[in-house]
Amino acid sequence: MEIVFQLLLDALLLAGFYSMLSSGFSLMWGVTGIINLAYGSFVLLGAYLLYTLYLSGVGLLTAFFIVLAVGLLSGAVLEMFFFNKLMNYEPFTLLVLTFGLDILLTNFLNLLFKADIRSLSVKGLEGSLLLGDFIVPYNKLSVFLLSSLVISALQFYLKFSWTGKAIRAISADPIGAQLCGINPKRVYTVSTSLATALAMISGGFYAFLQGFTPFDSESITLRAFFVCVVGGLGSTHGLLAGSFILASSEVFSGFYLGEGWKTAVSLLILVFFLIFRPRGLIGIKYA
Amino acid sequence: MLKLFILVIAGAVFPLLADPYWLRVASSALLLSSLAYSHNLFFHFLGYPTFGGVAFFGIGAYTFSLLFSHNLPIYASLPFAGILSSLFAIPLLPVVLRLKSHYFAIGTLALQITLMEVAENLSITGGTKGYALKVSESSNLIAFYLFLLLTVILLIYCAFLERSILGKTLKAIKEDEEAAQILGINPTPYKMLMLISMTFSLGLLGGTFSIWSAYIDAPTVFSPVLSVKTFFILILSMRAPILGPLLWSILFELIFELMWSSFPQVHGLLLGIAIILLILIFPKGVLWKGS
Repeated sequence: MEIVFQLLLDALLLAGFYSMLSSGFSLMWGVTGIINLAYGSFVLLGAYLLYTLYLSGVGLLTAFFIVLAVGLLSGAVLEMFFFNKLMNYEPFTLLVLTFGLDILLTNFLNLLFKADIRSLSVKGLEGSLLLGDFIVPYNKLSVFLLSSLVISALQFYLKFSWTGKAIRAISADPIGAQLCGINPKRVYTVSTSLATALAMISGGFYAFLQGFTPFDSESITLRAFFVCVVGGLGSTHGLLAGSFILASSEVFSGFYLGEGWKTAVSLLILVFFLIFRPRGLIGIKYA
Repeated sequence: MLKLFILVIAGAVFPLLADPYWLRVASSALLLSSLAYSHNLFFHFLGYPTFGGVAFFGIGAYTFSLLFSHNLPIYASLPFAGILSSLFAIPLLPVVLRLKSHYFAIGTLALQITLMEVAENLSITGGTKGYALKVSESSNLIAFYLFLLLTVILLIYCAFLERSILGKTLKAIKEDEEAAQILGINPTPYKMLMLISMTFSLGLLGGTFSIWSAYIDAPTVFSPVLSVKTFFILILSMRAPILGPLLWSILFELIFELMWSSFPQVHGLLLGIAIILLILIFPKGVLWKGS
């Protein structure tokens, strides 16, 4: 019985990270309607950038700010020069474009860093906290806390700032928002930029948690997609619920069935949801 | 008709003139074009982008390999590859009827990757080791002619649909399903027909692919890169659904082969750049009317 609680604790910690990981994907899909298949490679780009900066002696906080700046900038460039051009065509042209971008970035990272598994060990984050019989590794705990911090900050930004309100307005009703004087192009640029920055920062967290190679991008994108579909688009509660379901399915199936079945089980849950409830558990948007 | 005739003759004499290397390039071009034609049955005529259609290709490949390695002859096991992937698709029809564009595209892609993961973990599919087939010396030639045959049949099927009342009905459903229903068309049997056509031909292609490569494993036959290449061809040939896929596939494979042999280090990078640039330049397909 003990082990179930330990697994639940693991799932909770992982869910915090997954909600961070998929927040950018969810934001971009909800607002611009773009499913960014290159999302996972931006996460890895962030991971490799942080890794390189940390190894070359830059402080961790400074490194995170550089990752944030690069993410904001590249997201804005991406939207203005690529996605924006295809907004009025069939949606899957964008899908193929982002997949092309994914191939490009994966191969770029592979060229620079080779396919070896890299990992980042930060001083002071080794070891674990012992709470009675439960084990809480420091790196998982700190990623959980930082993720919660970022998610709350994002929530505040979307709820109270003018730009955040404009983003929510465009997401809820694009035409109505335009009638109120909101320029959708600006909102698309801002939210893509924000989403890419979130992706790259969560890449930094990803580097704390586990080893990574340039070829992880597909599985990361699928996890973000899982969270959006199962939880539902357009609400933070959906994001959290989806993350928790993904994390517990991975933790429990990894423990009881074996690591090899982890992805298969969560994908089966995803396909089940797509068939019977494509709008997700708490989804507001389905389009 | 004349164009088609020339094409078939050219294809039929090609192996007599070419060395094994060029036979391989031609086979991959024909594989790509027939993948594009099969996807087009559901995409061009009904508007469903089956992004993970390669799932059915993989089912066909595994079915064929399983039967073939149990000593069933090639031409007896090949039809089962098609039949099994169609059988697998039929329960999916309710999904097809419910999902909207994005969800449909990514949902089928998720199915494809699910199957890849499952195939890597089951013992019947050989797990991560995959399947090695004992094929004869002439299997490359057999595979080439099978790819050619499938391409020609699918091309004729698409050309027939483009001109027939059946095809016009399909396009009516694609344009406006409710309006088509008011005119007395029940969309379900039409969707069923096209779904079965697509998955059947994809299954056959998967089987032929196993003959050709003599070795299959899950990452090869459920490869998402194959899906992207197919959709890349489909986008380029949106304005010319009959000859476009064939010509673009030949051109694409030639360029891809050239890149692969001259820049083996960065060919993935170049493939990504090529996809991005061409889609940005021709988002509605290349302006070229051919039939």
